[in-house]
Formats: sequence, C-alpha cells, structure tokens
Amino acid sequence: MLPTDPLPALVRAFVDDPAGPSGAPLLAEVQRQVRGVCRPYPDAYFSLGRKDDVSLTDLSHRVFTVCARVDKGRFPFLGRPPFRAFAEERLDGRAVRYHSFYARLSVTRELLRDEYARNLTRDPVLRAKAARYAEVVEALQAVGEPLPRPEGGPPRWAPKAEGGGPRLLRGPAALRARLAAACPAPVGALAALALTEGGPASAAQILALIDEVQPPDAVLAAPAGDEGLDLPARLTVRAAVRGAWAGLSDEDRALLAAIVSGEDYDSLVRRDPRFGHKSAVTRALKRCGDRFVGRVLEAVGLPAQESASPPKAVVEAVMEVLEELVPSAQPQGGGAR
Amino acid sequence: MSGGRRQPWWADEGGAGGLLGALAAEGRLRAAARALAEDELHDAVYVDEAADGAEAEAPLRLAAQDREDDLQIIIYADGPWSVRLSMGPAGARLTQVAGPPGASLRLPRADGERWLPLEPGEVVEAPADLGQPAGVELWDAEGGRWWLVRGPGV
Repeated sequence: MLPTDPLPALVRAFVDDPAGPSGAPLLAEVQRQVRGVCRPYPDAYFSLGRKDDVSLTDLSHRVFTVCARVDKGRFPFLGRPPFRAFAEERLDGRAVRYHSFYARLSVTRELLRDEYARNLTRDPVLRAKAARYAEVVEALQAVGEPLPRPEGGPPRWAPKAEGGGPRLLRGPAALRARLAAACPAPVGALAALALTEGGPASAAQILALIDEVQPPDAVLAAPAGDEGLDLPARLTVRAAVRGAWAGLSDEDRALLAAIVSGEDYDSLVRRDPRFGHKSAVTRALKRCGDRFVGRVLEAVGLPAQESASPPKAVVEAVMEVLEELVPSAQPQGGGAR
Repeated sequence: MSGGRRQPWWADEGGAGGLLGALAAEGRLRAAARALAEDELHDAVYVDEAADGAEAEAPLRLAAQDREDDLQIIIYADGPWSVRLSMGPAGARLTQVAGPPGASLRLPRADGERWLPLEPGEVVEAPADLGQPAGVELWDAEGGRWWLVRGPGV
C-alpha cells in the first residue's frame, strides 16, 4: 500500500464544497495540528492569557476560518484564502501543514502573535514588558540604525557607523558580563550598551538579555475594580466614539489615527505632508479636542474639569472602537498579509 | 516608535485634554506590544519549522507497516504506576513513565514466566509474543503486587 496523506484531498474537497462532509474531518485535522504547534507556547500567547482546552479550540477555529475565508496577500496565497491556494496549486500535505501551522510566518503563528500582542497590553506584567521594549527601541533609535530587512527576516539593529575603522564586538558571554557590571542602570542605557558593544541584534533579543542581567521589578496585578465597563456603558462609548469619528474631517481622522497608533511625528509627516507645519497640528488637535474628545466625554458623563485623568476602563473602551476604525492600530494576523 | 517615557510629539501643541493624552499613551504602548510580538515572531521564539505533525501523528501507513497494531501506543496504569507499551515496525517496547524505581513486570509465558526489570524513563524491549494484554502484573521494590489495567490506545 502506498503512503497516503489525507490532508490535500480534504482541503480540495472542502474548497469544492464548503458545506460538504469534508468540513468536519478537516477541522479536526486543523485542531490536531494546532495543538501540536502550540505545545511550546506559554499562556501569554492564548486568549485571556490562559492556555487550556477552550483557548486551543478557539485558536483552531480561528485558524480554520482564516484558511477558509480570508484572502492572504503573501506567497503562496497571492490574494486567495489559504485553502483555495493550496487546492489550486495542488500543494502536498507537507506544504499545506508548513504554511498553515509550522512555518515561522504560518497562519497559526500569526494568530498566536496577535493574541500575544493583545495580552501584552492587558496583563500588568506583560504591559511592563511592552513598556521596557519601547524604552529599548527608543535607545536603539538613538545609537543605532535598522538593518535592511529581507522579506520575512527578523528586524535587526546595528550600531551607527562611526567611520573609525573596524569595531571590536563582544561575544555573548562577555557582553552579558559587561551588562551585568553596568547594572543597575536604566533600560535604555543598557540597550545602547548592548548594541554598541554586542553588535547587530533585534530589539527583542536585547530586551531578553537585559531582562536576564537586570530582571524587571515585580509588577502587581491590576487593582480590584479595574475590570472594565459593563455592557451598557461599553455600548454607550461605542456609539459616542463612532458618532464623534463620523464628525471628523479626513485630516483630523489622520491625526487621531497617528496618535492612537503610537506613530511618531516624523513618520506622520513623511506619510502625510498636511502636518508638515506645526500650526496644522495645533489646529487639528484643537478640532479633535472639540469634536471628538468633548463629545465622547459628554456621552460617558465625564465633565471636562474631571477628565484630566479619565478612568482606564474608559480609555480601553474608546481604544477598542478606535482600533476597529484605524487599520494601522489593528493586529494583522487575520488580515490580508 | 516613540519611547515609553519620552514626551509625546503633540504635547507641546496645546494638548487636547486628558483623554487624548491617555489614548496616545495607550496607543504607544500597544504599538510597542505589536512590535515586540512581531520581533519575537521573526526571532522564531518557540518555533521549530522542521517539526511536522505528519510523521508522528498523521494516519499514514506504509506498505511495510501495514498491520493493525503498527504505530500504536497503549498505556497500562494503576496507583502511582504507569507503563507505556509502544508497538512499531521495530518491535514492541515498554517504558515506565510514572512510579518509583525498582519495579519489575511479571509476564506470563507459555513456558513459564519472564521478569522484566524497569527503570523510570528507560525503554526496554518487550517479548515478541507479548501482544496487547488487558493488563500487566507489576511488582514494586517492596514486593507489592499491582495489576496495571490497559487504558485507551493512542
């Protein structure tokens, strides 16, 4: 009997007849493979920061949905849903599994990345990690420059060229010892030291090294009563944000989008010359204040004089809606990449 | 990306109230979170691209392995004990996966019995005629007898 791999036939049958009998066994196969891929991943990569049967099943279903329904732009999908691309290109089972589950940039790992990014802003400990990462990147921008990034390659930084001839770089063990000797120090200073003395690395690699020599301070869990708004209040916020957004001009929307996307000013100006003059920014900010912020605060019942420090729950509820309205503030795994 | 502690670029433009400032701070943090997750994705944390569920898990059958009991694993367990019987083309093997050291299996045979000493985590060859019994008899280091019952196959 010749070896057979049922996966390609299942995919083709499902693409030919999505409502047919192949859907259930294909979903079961997706669930099995997703569980295999997820074995080494910790809780931080799963819904609500918990790796359990529910979150694994949820992830499997999302992988299946993306593979079945979402047009993906990159190779080998080329603007088609993955299952259709697999069927049309007649890829074998190994290639199907590779692009769906096991590749570094597979559909499954992209969804894991997106859930991890969400948890990095939800969980207090992970939020602290994201903040430290931002400090690392800021330091790398000051002393380094991003290396040209091959398609799918890791983003890496190199020390700025100083024109002084060859530079002596430390090996991993010597660099670790050098950083440890410099502790305690601000995260940014350690990041700059790591790059200038250790050579090219990704920001995440440098952060991991810093965490090793100078572990982060203990972070307390979120205080009680910080669970977020109830459903009626969230619906009120959603309606207010959508209404206020609809009342903004394109220019004001562009500014607000840049702000909530964490975009820096130089990047905004490169992308949108309307903000090349600071007075344009000032005017747009005033309009955003009047037409957007004022309207949202009024809807949630926060008087202007008490809104200097709006509750975290309100900020998150507003952010949730803005992320839907601003494409650059969204994770990309379920999208067209 | 702006850093976590750097003054935001719009702050000296008159600002637009606490909510806009809070949204900007949250936006910067979320951008950092997305970038960190992307970095770790490209750094291939937790990734072994060579792993492919096909060999270990897909219901593939080769001609040379085409028997009902090929590639099968059975767990026998009772109390603190657990022993795995794996059957493949190379024969049957037994592994003690739980329980203290010093145990032995007592396997009945047509010509008497055979004692098979176990070591936790170590693979030992099973007799060729073992088959898939409903249970196996284990004797612990203190001379206690345990009857390990067959669990579901994998």
